[in-house]
Amino acid sequence: MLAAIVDTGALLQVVWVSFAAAIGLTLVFTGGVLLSTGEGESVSPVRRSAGIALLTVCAAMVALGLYVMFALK
Amino acid sequence: MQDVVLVLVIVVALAFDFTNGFHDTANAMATSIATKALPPRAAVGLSAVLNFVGAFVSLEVAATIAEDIVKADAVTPTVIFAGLLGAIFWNLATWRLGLPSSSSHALIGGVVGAVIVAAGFDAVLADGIVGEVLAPALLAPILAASVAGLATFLVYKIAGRRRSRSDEVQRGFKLGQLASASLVSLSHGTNDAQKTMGIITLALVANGTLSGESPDVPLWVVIASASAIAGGTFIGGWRIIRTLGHRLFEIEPPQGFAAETSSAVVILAASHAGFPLSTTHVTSGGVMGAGLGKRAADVKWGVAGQMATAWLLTLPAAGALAAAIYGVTELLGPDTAGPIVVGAIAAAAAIALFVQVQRSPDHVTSADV
Repeated sequence: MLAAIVDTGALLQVVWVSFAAAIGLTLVFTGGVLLSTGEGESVSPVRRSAGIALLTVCAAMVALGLYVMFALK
Repeated sequence: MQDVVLVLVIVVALAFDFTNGFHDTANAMATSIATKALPPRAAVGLSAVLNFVGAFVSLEVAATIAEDIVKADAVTPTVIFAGLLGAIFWNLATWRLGLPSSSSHALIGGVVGAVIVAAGFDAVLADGIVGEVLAPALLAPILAASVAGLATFLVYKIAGRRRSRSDEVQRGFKLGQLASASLVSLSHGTNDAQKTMGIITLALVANGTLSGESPDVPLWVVIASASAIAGGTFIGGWRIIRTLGHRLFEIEPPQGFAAETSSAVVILAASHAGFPLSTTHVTSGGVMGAGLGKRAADVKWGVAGQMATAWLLTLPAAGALAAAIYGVTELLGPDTAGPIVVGAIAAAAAIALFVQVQRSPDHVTSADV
């Protein structure tokens, strides 16, 4: 009965998109922060570049997400 | 509708929008303020600007705020007036107690309560209440808490406890918090200012000021609604900010980032899919999940229980308030006298509550969060 009242298609979409996007963003951002920062010691240029690349990917994911949410609605 | 009642409905709708703003400031900024990612005043200022901008992002008017909840022909100007006042007073009561609660549910509860007195239980659509209000209210905190809990767990797993506490890493997560909290503010402005725009548009149509066939929202309505929610946000609901930022547990930047990112994603995904979730339920669930996701985090379940109780009571309490307000308004004369007298009493009561809170020993300011 509940399935007839609640839009289960929309619900499932919200659940999987939420898990995929939030976990993906968090992991990429965490990787970016950890690679681009040191722990008292200096960070190699390669490692810092990799970190910055991950943070850029993160920003691109947010921009793409907003585009999909608002522009393609 | 008489012009006097139209003006009153518009004023009360903007007042509701204002309370919605200061009640929900905590949704976006409580964690950023708690972790000192931003000073309190700067945080609410940023949130106010983004709420204002968010109100202009989409104009798919939610004139349908109660469309699937009650029969359309049962919604009269007096019902809207009483529903809004019921929602405002529930917002003020929960703010006084420092508890986050859904402004949307308060508004729906208010309209339903007034409709029941005006037209009876037959005018309430039970399927709509279950499908659009109760089921999402149950789902929103569970989903947000699950996503934020998993995200928090993974962050601490990858970073390690010691590394996650280093200054540089914390600074990185604080910057991330600014971005994710900004997203929540933007989506809040987009979603919540629409409700006020919808109600004012509905009132203008009922008055004959606007044509009933797919009316465009006048620019002044958009600007007024955006300004009211931004103004309320800038006032800052410090009592609720303290609850979400400190009273549940002492939040760290990685947890704040995970909570806000998860909340922003869930809100935007639900909005895109047309699934109505309360911003408050999502963000509160996100904060709780971030607390549970870190091992040995000390979540205060008593406070969480108080929040859940407020959520459960929102619909019936706002409904009961609105029902009483509707009854008194009808008794005094629904055309003009009733709304004017009730509106004046309500304004005096709201001001008295503000003054009482300002003078109370447990008054919370930006310095306390």
